[in-house]
Formats: sequence, C-alpha cells, structure tokens
Amino acid sequence: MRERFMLWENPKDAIITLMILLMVIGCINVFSASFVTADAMTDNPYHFLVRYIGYAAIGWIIFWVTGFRMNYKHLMSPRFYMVVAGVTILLLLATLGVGTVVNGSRRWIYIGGFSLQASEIAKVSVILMAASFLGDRLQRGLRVSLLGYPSNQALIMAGFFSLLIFLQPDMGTATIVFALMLAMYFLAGIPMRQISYIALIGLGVGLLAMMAPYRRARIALWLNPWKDAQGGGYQMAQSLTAIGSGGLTGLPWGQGSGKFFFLPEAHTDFAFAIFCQEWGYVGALFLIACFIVLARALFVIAMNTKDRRGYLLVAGSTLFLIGQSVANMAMVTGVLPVIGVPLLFISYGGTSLLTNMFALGLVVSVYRSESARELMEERIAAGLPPVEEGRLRVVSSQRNRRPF
Amino acid sequence: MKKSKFTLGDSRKRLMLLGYLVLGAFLLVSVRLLWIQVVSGTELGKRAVTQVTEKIKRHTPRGRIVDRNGEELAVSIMVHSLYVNPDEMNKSAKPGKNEVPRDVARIAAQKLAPVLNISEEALYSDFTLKGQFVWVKRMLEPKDYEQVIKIIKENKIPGLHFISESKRYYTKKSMAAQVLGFVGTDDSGLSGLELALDSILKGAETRQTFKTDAMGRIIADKNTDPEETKEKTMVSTVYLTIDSKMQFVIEDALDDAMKRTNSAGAAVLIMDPHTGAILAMGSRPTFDPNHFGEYPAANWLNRAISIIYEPGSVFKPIVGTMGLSEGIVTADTPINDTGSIRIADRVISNWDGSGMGMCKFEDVIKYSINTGMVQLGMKLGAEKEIAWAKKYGFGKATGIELPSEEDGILYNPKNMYEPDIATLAIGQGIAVTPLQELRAICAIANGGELLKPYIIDRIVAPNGEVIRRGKKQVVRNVITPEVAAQMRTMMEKVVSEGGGKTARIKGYRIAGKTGTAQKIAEQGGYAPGKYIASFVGFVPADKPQYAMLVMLDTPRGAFYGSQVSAPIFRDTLQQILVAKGIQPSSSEGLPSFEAHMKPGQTEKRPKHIPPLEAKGDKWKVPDFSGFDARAISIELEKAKLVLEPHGTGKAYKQSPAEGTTVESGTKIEIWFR
Repeated sequence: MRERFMLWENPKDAIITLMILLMVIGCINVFSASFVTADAMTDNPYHFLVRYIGYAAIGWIIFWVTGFRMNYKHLMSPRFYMVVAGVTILLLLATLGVGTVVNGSRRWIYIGGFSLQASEIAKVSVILMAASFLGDRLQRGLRVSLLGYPSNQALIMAGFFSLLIFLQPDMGTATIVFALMLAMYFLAGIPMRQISYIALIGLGVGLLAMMAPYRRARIALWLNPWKDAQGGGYQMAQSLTAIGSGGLTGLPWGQGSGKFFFLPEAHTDFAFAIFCQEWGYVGALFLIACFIVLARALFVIAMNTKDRRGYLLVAGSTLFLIGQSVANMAMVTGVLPVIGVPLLFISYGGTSLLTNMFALGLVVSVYRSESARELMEERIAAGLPPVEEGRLRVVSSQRNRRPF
Repeated sequence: MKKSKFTLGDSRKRLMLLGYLVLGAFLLVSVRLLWIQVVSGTELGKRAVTQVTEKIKRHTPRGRIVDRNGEELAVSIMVHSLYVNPDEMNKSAKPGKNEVPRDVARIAAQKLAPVLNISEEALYSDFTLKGQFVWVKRMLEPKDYEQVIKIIKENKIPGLHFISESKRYYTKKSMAAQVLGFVGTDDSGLSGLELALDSILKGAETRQTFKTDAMGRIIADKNTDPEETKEKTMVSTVYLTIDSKMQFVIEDALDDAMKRTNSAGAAVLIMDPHTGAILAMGSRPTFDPNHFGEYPAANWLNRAISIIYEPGSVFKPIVGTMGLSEGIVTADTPINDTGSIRIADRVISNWDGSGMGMCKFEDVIKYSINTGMVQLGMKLGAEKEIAWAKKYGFGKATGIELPSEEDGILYNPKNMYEPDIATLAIGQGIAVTPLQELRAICAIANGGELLKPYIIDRIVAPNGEVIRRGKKQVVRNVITPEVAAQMRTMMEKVVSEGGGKTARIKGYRIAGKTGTAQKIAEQGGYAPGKYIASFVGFVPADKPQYAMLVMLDTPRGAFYGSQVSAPIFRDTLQQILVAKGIQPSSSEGLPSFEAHMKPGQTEKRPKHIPPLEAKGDKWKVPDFSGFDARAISIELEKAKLVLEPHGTGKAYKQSPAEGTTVESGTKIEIWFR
C-alpha cells in the first residue's frame, strides 16, 4: 500500500463520499431552482428543499438496509423475480387507473401527500429481473437470445412494462426501460448478429419516425431551437440561455434568472441548466468529474465481481444511474433531444431518489459480498480457515483497497 | 462470438465498451458546455439579461396652460391606468390540494365589470388572453381606482396592476378648444398649442428598469407597483396672452350667434393692436378637448387661422390706405359713383345696385361703394395692389405659434386681367385667413405697424424663471401714421354714419368695416347663396385698445356683415369694455391727437407727435411742445422713459431739451399749459 492521501479507501467509500457530495450540491441547487416556483405554488419557498431532504433521509435508510443489512442474493431467486414483475405491473396498472393527470399524462399516484412514480420503480425492476434471470443463465453458460423463448422472457416482461408506461403516455421512460433491458441482454451475451439487427431496427424506426412532419419539425427544433424560441424550441432555448449566461464562473448563487418561470422544469429535469447558470463552466466540469469518479467506482466494482448475478446487478445499476445522468446532461445542453430523464441527485424527484439509493444499496451489497468472498479465497490460498472465528466477517480486501 | 460459450470475460469486454461510450458522452457534454458557456456565453448572457429586464417609460404630469392672469385652462394630474398580466392572473392561481382551482379571470371580470363600466365578457376575454400586458382601462377616475383596489384586495386577484399616467383636464371645457388643442394617449399633443408646444409641455420622461420573471412580474418586490418609486419632476407652465374673461365673452357670443344664424362656421378674434397679442380666439363648430374623440375632426379646425376666404368689403380699408399712401386719393377726392361699372367684360355693381353720384372718397369707404373702390383699384394697377397686399402680410402665414396656419392666396400680378385688378379692390380674388385680415386692420389701428401676432405671453420654468417671453414684433411699417389716422377716421364714420351702424356702442368711438363676400365653392367659382359675413374693427377709434374680427361662414337667413356680424362685435365689445373699465370717449376729458381737429378738417392732419429716435440703446428726445400729456406718455413709454408732468394742457417746456440723448428709465419733465 502506497503512502498517499486518499479520500477513500475503496470503491464503496468512494460511492458514499460522492453520494454525500452530490446530495449536498443537489440540495443547494434544488432549493435555488425551486424557491420561486415553490413560493408561487405553496407560499413556502422551502417546499421542495424540505421534501428533497425528507426523501433523502428515507433514501439513506433504504441504502443502508440494502447495502449493509441485506444480502442481494436473496433478491435473486426465481420467486422474487416473479414478485418484482408482479408488483411492477400492478403499480403501473394502478398508475394508469388512479394516477393523477399532470400535463396531459398519468405518471404519478398520490398517496397521502406523497407521489409515487411507478415508471421509476420499473427501471430498478428491470435491473433486478435481468440480474436474476440473465445472471443465472450466464452462470449456467446458457446462451441468451432476443428471439428464443425462454431466454427472452425478461425482455418480454420489460416490453410489457414499456407498453404500460407508453400508455401513460411517457414515451421517453418507456424507451429507457426497454433499452435498459436490451443493454442487460447485450451484457448477457446476445449474438453479434442480433446486435446488428437491433441497430438496423433502431435505424429503421428512426427513419420511419422521420416520415411524420411534426417529428421532423421537432428534430429541426432540437438542432436549432432558436428558430422557434417562443414556441416549440422554448424550453431548449431557455435552457441554453440559462447555461450560457453562467459563463465561465457562473452568476452569484440564487441570481440565475432561469428559475423565474423562464425555464420549465427548472428544478427537475432541467436542474443541471440552473446549476450551470449559477456555477458556470467550472462548476459544470466539477459536477461532471464527480459523475465520472462515481462511474469509475461503480465500474471497478462491476469488473471485480465474479458472481454473475451480482456482476449484472452492478453493471445494470451503473448503466442505469450513470447512463441516465449523462443522457440528462446531453439533453439539457441540446446534444440529445428532450427526453424526460432525471440527473442523479441533482434533479428533484422523490421516487427516482429512492430508487437510485436502492440501486446504489444493491451495488454496495454486491461489493460487500464480493469482498467477503475475496477474503475467504485469500485465506484459503494462505492456508487459513476460510472463516475467521467461525463467522463471515466483512472487511475490505487488500485488492480493493488500492486507489483507483 | 464464434465460441459456443459466452463467458464473464466476454461480458466484461462489452461492459468496458459501454463504459467508454459513457465516458465519451461525458466528454462530449463537456465540450458542448465549453461551447455554450465560454464561446457563446456573452451572447447568451445578454439574452438572459434582456429577457428579465423590462424598461418602463413614465411621464410626470404635463405642463399647465394658463391664461395671461394665471387662470388654468389645461392641467394634468397623475391618474392610474389599470392593466392585466393574463399569464400571471391565470397561472399563479394556486392549485390547492383539495379545493377546486378557482377561475380567477371569471371572478375578476364579474367584480370589475360594474366599476369599470365594461361588459363582463369583454373583461373576461382580456383576462384570458395569452400574454403579459393588456390595458384594461386607462386613466381611471380616482374614486374608481379606489374601488378597484378594494376589489383586488378582497378577492386576492393576482395579475392586476396600475401604471400612473398623466391625464389632461381642460378645466373650461370647450373654451378656446382649438387654441389649446388636445392630448392623445401617451401624453403626446395632437393639435393646437398642445401640439405646437409638445416638447415644452410634455412631462419629463423617466425610464425605469426592472427585473421581471417570465410572467412579467417584478422580481425585486412583487408587493409594490413600480409607480411608487417614480420621481417627480415638474414641467414649465405656459401663460397665454388669452384673457379668459374676454374669451368667455366671445365663446358665449359665438354660441349665441351660431344658434341665431345657423352658420356653418364662425371665427372671432380679439387682438391688442399695439402689440399683436391675441386676447381671444374662438372658432365654431367647436368641441370639448376632454372628449375630443367624440367630435368630428372638422370641429378641431381653428377657423381663425386655418381657413382662407375672400374677405370682401372688410378689405376695402386696406385698399383705401394703398390709395392714400400712393397719393392717388385723399379723403376728399371726388368720386363719381354710377351704381355699376364695367371693366372689360365684367360689370361690377354696388350691393344695392344704386349709385350716389358725385361723392368724396371717404364716402366710398363709409358706404362701401364698390364702383368707387374699383376706380381706385384700376388706378393702382396689378403690381401695386399685389405689392401692397404683400406688404400687409397677405399670402404668407403670420407666424403665430399655433400649428396648421394657412398662407392665403395672392394673384401673381402678371396673371391679373383687368377685372381681377378691379375686384381685388373690393376684396375679391384674394384669399386670407381671419388672422391676416385682423392683423392688417391692426396696422391701421396702431399707426402703420404690421405686427407678428403671438399667443404665448410667457413660459415659466418650475423654478420661476421665465424661459420665453412673447413680445411685440414689428414685421414692417406698412403705412405712415398719417395715412393710418385718415383711415381710422373713415372707419369710424363707417360705424357712426355709414354701413356699420349696427356695431355702434353708445358712448364709445368705434372704427370698423362690414363685409359680405360670396363664398368660394370648393370646386372653384362662387357658391350660390353662400356668403361669409364679417365685421372688423377696433375700439376706441382714436386710441385703439382692442381690435376684433367677427366672421360668420354661411349664415342662414340674414347674411350681410352689418346684419349678423356687426351686432356680435357690438355685444361682445360692450361687455369687454365695461369689464375692462375702458371709459367711454364722450365723457372722457382726455383729448387725443385727433381730438383737437375740427370736424371736416381731417385732411389737415394734426402734426403727429415726433417719435423718439433710437441711438443704440439710448434715445434722442424730440420736441414735445404742443402735444398733450397722453400722447407724450404713450411715446415715452415705448422707450421706457418716465414722464413727470407739471400742469395740464399742451406742452410748452421740457427737460431735457430737444436732441438730448437719454437712457431708458430717465425722467422727462414736461410743463403743460
């Protein structure tokens, strides 16, 4: 072990450190972005800040329970697979049935003052189901295919989720849920031929979509939102205005104008734009760096996980958490068209915060389990009994203690 | 993937690939951010500033217009104008969890409709527009404003705001309406003096910058309306030469005349013949400038300056002075009045067609004999007629401060045929404005000075400083004082003995001239049965104080100037003379420069008082011996010299002596006996 200053000893500590850091940034930014809207809606400028902190508290409990008090392997049984699928479908159906219509689509169920976004849960369900189902097949050396039953049954299930989400309607999330499952299949070893088919089908669907003139118009607006800055390009134009006005070092905190009803979804999907406005390019680069470090921590855990289900769980969670985050940043900066994905810890969103914490908890759970296994293997290699004092102790292994 | 088994290692390679893709995406976002924030950051920053910045222009109250004595004619006060921000009204309605969101626009429309006197539906449609600024009602009366405030507070209606605006009030309603003009929205003068003096009267413009949110609400403090931070800046006050008492009298007389004669239009002017100051100016049809929009635009026309007409017989005294000045006639020159006279292919007759036979030239003026005037005109010839008319200021706007003044029309002498030369002498074939006509008559009244008429007495800045003062401006001396005096005598006889008897005021010496001219039709030629009846004159005839013109356009029924216009002259001046304390001449002991002349000796004019000669800013004192105190004092006043009289009668001794050069303000002692 080299003598050098380290912020963390291992990937798990890195994850927890970054979670705290991102949450603090998230708190500040959510408050700054929301106090105007909050005041106008509820007369309480702290409305969203208080709720964010509340959700974060619950989130930490979920994270602690999943990460430190539970073995992820319990969630990998075929029975649990059915429970997850069933509960997700029930919630999605309930959303369609009793959900509240906001901006023309049913996405939330309100229970006692709190809202539940079932489609966010569906994303984690996909990861859990894929890890459990595909991990088992990977473990047993079975080929997976998008076309052959039963190996495509998780995909079919995800397709069903997508359909229910699509009916809300929420095409963005439906696509994400299905794409997440496709990515899991990709990791589980679908043949290259099918990958190229997916690419071809994607291209075909894209071209077909371009046939509709209103979609072409939307694409044109994505490429140049200034053409209709008061109409279809309004949100994008406002986002770019907010980001650009931040300049290199940003405006004084709270002084950004975007949140004064100029930028829609300022504290949720477009929170990153407000952050860029108030912290400038320097702040934005720092935030991106945080995400890259977090991604690397998650990636390192995935690469060192031998349990196939655990591996897929961590890989899926990484793709889910980091993929969404980078997609959000790309969307806010106009690299991608507007799709409703939140930015991890920075965007306000109750259900998504809880599911993100849950996913991170799963990663920690896998990490702890893998560390125990490595320790056990080291002890066996060293000729020691596999378990010290007759019981499995979780310690960080030498291997994972190296800086990354 | 040729291997039959897909291993964990294979999967990790795929994960690695995805990892690099994500990293690439992060880098792409970083580059993109560099472009947005650093490269185009300045431009986008400006955009952000622009969209939150709202500039509001405000006016402080418009300057007052008052009469010569400070009586208010037009004043401005700040009143509140109500506007709605529909986005704010409809979007900021709080969606309570349990309560049904209330239809704020509907509630607001219901409550405000009776107060604002606007239908509920009209209000509702304004309140539900897309946008951030819609005027609801401008310039609310103060009591309505308070009611609206109460409604907004009681019902907690968002999105309704006020802006202070300057509202013009014309305190005397339609009095001098065409002179004052009126103010449109945004405090801009549209007509009359309001237009001419707009830059002076216009309230100081203050610009305020606010930061507003996307709904146009002010970010800084949403509980205060911007008006409360406005600065107060006062504007200059304009004093007119108009005397509102005299103006009131003529307005009254005009109303009465319009009712009696049913005329299409009318104009009355009173002028100080010595200075050119307009004392009263009235025009009919008229309007109330407080509600100018409710009247046809024709009513806004100031007929005293903006219409041209053939003056007819009122032009004869002017032509008469031409003849006197050119030495063609004197008051006693015998003229043969044949009743009608043939010039080339045209026959010109007297108004009644009968002739008086041999008579004196003064009778030609006294009885308005056309044939006599024609004979004079033919002797003058085209060149001289037109040259004199130009000298009298015809054919060119007088330059009074009012807008849209007409020039009038003069023949080019080269294009005049004999009948044109003849008819010009009786006031036909020339188009003048009432103001031009009166100004020319004033030259006769004041001894020959053609003055530039003015209506602005002074403009006083808020700090009391006079920034502009209207003063007598002599354009040129047209005729000699002698000629003027001769014509005054003739014109006095018009009223005392001749055709203008209807203008007579008991006890006062009045000089005047009636005129009845056929109206020029718009398509050329004369309009049959349409006349312009006018009377022009001044009082007292010997030392004129007021010159007045009455013009009636197309009176129905009686149409002679002596029948319809002269009585108006008489009635109004009678009131004004009494009100102004002008003593009747017959009981006045003070003799004038004409008074010592025996009747019928007017051709032997009194020696006119020798004028003071200007020597730089000093004055050379002439010999005053033989003149009365009044004449001398008038002369001395011109140079601001102070008369110290000793005794009464005619001057026989003076100090300083004749030829001495003195400064303004010097005391001049004169002994009378």
